[in-house]
Amino acid sequence: MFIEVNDIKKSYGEGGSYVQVLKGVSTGIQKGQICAILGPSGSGKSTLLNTIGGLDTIDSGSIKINDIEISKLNPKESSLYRRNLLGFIFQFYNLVPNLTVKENIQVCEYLTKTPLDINELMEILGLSEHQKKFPSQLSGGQQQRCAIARALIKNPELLLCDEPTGALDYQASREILMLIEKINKKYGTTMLIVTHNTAIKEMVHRVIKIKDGQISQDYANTVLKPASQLEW
Amino acid sequence: MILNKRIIRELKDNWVRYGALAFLIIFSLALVVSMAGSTDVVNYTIDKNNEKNRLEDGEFSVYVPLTENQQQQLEKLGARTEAAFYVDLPGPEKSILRIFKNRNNINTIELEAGRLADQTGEIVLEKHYAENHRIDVGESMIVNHKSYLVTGIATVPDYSNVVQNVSDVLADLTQFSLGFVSEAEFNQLLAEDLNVEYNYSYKLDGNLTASELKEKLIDLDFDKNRVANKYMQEIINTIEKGKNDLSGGVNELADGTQKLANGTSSLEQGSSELAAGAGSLANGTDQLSSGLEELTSANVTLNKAADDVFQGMIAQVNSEFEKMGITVTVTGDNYGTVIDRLIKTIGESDANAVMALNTMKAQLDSYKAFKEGLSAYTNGVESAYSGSLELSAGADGLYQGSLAVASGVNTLRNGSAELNSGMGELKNQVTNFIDQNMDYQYVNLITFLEADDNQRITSCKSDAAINKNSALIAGVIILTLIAYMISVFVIHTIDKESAVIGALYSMGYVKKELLRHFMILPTVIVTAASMLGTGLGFLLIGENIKENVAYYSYPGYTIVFPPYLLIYGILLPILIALFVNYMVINNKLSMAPLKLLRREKKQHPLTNIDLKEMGFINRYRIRQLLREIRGNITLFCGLSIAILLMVFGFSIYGSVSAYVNNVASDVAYNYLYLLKYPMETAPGDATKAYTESLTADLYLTGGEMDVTVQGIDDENPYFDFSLAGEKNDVVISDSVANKFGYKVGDEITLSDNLEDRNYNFRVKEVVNFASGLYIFMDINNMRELFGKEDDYYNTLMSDQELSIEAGRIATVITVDKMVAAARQMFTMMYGLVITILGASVLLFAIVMYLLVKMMIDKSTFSISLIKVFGYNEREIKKLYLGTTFYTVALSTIIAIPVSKMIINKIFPYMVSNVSAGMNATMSPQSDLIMVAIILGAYAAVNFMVGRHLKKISLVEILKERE
Repeated sequence: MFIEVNDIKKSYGEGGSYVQVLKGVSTGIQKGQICAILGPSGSGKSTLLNTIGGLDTIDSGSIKINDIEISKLNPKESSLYRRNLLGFIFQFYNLVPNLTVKENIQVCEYLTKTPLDINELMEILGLSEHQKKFPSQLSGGQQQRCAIARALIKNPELLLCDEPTGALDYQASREILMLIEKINKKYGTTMLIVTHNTAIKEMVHRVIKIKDGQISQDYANTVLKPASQLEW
Repeated sequence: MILNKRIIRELKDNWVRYGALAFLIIFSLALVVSMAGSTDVVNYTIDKNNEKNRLEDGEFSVYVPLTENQQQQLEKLGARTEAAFYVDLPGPEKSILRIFKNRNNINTIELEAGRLADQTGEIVLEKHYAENHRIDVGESMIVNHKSYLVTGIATVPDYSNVVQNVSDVLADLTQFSLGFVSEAEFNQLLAEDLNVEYNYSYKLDGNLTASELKEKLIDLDFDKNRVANKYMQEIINTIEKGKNDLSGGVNELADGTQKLANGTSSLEQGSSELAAGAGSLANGTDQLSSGLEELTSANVTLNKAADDVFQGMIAQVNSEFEKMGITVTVTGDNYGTVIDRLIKTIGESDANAVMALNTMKAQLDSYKAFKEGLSAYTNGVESAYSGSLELSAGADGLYQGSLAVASGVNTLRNGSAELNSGMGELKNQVTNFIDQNMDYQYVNLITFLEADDNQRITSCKSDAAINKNSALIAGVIILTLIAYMISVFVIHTIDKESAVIGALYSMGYVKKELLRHFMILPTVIVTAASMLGTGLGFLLIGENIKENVAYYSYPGYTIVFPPYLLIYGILLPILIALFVNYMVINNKLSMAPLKLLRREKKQHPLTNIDLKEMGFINRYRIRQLLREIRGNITLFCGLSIAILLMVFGFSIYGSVSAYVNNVASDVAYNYLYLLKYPMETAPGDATKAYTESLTADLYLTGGEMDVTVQGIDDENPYFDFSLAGEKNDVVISDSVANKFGYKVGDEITLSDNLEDRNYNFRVKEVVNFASGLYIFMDINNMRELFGKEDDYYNTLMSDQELSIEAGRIATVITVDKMVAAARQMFTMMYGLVITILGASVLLFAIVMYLLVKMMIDKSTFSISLIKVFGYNEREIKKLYLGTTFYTVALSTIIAIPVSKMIINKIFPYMVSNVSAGMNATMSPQSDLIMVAIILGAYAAVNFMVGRHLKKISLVEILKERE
């Protein structure tokens, strides 16, 4: 298993404001798979993603990525883990506003010694013509593509996507999903997508549904629907 | 790192902000570096000049020039001396030129132009004097009614501050300066019976200390008859005459008492003899009386027997007549007539008868004479007896009296012997007194001044040092503020880009990398600005040094680049920026990536303060203020520093203005003459006083400063305070109180360094007297304290100019001169005041603009939101710029009094080298002007930020938020 999540628990606050967000979540994901994590707001899906990404800690349990126990990493090791293995895509892109598209991608190219070919990547993501533009000159979809390119440039083994289409319209969302699909196929990148969009469950290898801090459903798709055919 | 590419874009996007910050740094550093650099340039130039021209280690003056032998002796001991005699002569435009001969070894002349005066009738002028009187080399000028050719323009190291007297507050470069002539010319001047000051410069070789040299000079013998100054000679003569009179008087007195002793001794002997004689006399008279008594008792018998004999002779004559037939009878009374008639009758007829008759008559005449003699004798004996009785009684009295006289004379003799003995003692004592106290050693030394205590030498550097220290401290404060402001902006950027930073962390960026990235911009700005500022500062040294160069007299300066200033100007700002930004940014970047992604912010506990039922607008403003508490604190600090600078500027202005005004109002006399050689009788229209110059410890510098102790009486019309009190009570001027920190009731000690004596006084009162550093005491108490005669004086005060021989005068102080000197100080300070005020206003406006704009930037979302709600511009301004008003008002209310307090504390240090006590004074008008400047700056910034507020587009803001 590339990702092994074993009975993780996570809570926030104390006393009256105490909330247990994850109540013993266990799952495993194979390398190269796309996994969608679905669930309503406050179900704990983003928390699960963040703990896997080393952005948040867990109270108990264990998370192994490629046999590395990441819940025991200190901040420095955690950074190194993210640097070497992970790519992140966010709902609001979080691009550096005063860097061009290409430069935003280069920001992460800097983090690895074996980056992907930036021009090829921009070509794949349809960013070549926008490479000199600043984020503010791009549409939401273009910005998200830039964010994907930035995440992919260092050829991460695991790509964590937090509501990657949450801020996009239908067309742009579909384009992004198609890209994700394309990249997975081209680079074999394991992907974990947190989303509200239930349509996505049809294009992914694995679906995990979380409800109230627990996995309510966890299954694998045997037949995948191409992203271009998704409707919602 | 590609991320760093954004730095230039960040700079471009916010060029106003960073440009303003850079401007502040450049401006501050240019000021600081130019001020400190000026000091270094001054120090370097002065030190170089001092070394090149062999600055003295000190100087001293004497009544009688040292002999060559004495100079050689001193040199052997370790003190090389060189005569620096001078005369003060009238020059053009009522100025005074102090004329020296050319110097060879110590304090040599540094020519700026021309050559030294090597012929008679030639002169080299001090450079400022030449400049102020527009005299060039090759021109002629009149000094003391004699024409001189100016051959050179120069400076000397011992007069970099060209003051006439060491205790003068300021130099008057038009009215007093120096001239240097050839030795031959100077000798001619000496021959003119001028008032020459025999001044010497010395250099020590390390084997002798200054105090040892002073002791040697005090002990050096000299011929008082060679004192050339006629007034001093007059004083010596008076003293010597008094001494001789006293000595002669005592000798005469001693001689007299000796004679008295001898006389009384003889008298005693005489009186003893007299008593003995009187005793013998008394015995003699007793015996005489007794003898005479016996004689007296035989008188009757003797007279009767004599009468009987006479009658018998008459009877015998009658018997003979009968025998001769003559019928006449004679008696004792008629016998002569009868016999003569008979002789006539007989005539030549009977010669025998006639012969017999003549014989008879002769016998009767003879016996009658005997009888009458006897009678007279017995009468005499009678009288003698009676007299002898009186004589005996008198002789007895005489004897008793002579005994009393002998006794008295004996007492007198004893007394005169004692007197004589006492007189001997008195004579010895008087001789000792004369030897000890009136053997005026006539210490040849008049003044002794070490170079370190000579403000002519030190004040240029110490003046510059104060500016330097102040500038360096102010620079660090401003740089820290700017560095902190930069960090505030960086934090603003980090806050704004919080999610991006969180994303970068998510991608694997580590804090170190981001820290480095965020540190680059402030470091680059500070580095570039500090390099520019420092460079500009060095370029401005020429401008900054102008006033110093115009006031002090030293050779042309050379710009130097002291390493510390390069470190201060470039490295220190960078280090401050690195440190402050590291601390702040590091703290900010230490947030968890997730929190950054979620734009979570720590809420300051203050933001939750319960504002009760406060009105909405005020509540909103306070919330906004608390939300931006960091920005507001920075704004408060920045404005406070600007206000501190403003207060400093106004305080300098106020203090110097007050000094000028007070000098004019406190000094009631128009002329004050300090006399070196007072006349026996002072002019009737002058008021006498007694002045001494002593030194007091100056805690501000750790050194000493001269104070003037002036003895005046209660009738002195120029002072309206009373001096009655204890003998050591003094009334001090507020100037002294400020300078030395003395208070009423304090026991103070002042020193006479030449005499190595300390004097203790008690401060009775503090009075207003701005000019100089004066301490007043009762003139009689002062005379007693300093061992002067009851009518001694050396100072005259007058409403009118007095006619006094120039040679007697040490200094003439006029109110006009004092005011002119004070005004000169004002002029000197004016540039500094304008610079400080300009800098403070700039700092105030820039800091306020930058921080207010930043706070507005941070609130763009909420501003757009309330715009959406329908708030109009005025209301929005009220809500967002109103908070700034609170901060501005608060900083004004707090910073003005606190700044005044701080300036009051540090101001004395700033003027510690000025021989006057000045308080940091601000007039109420200055307060109003300052508030007006603050409000004006606030209004201007409000206007500019208001325009920015207007430009905030709600569509863009909402889009950005999305």
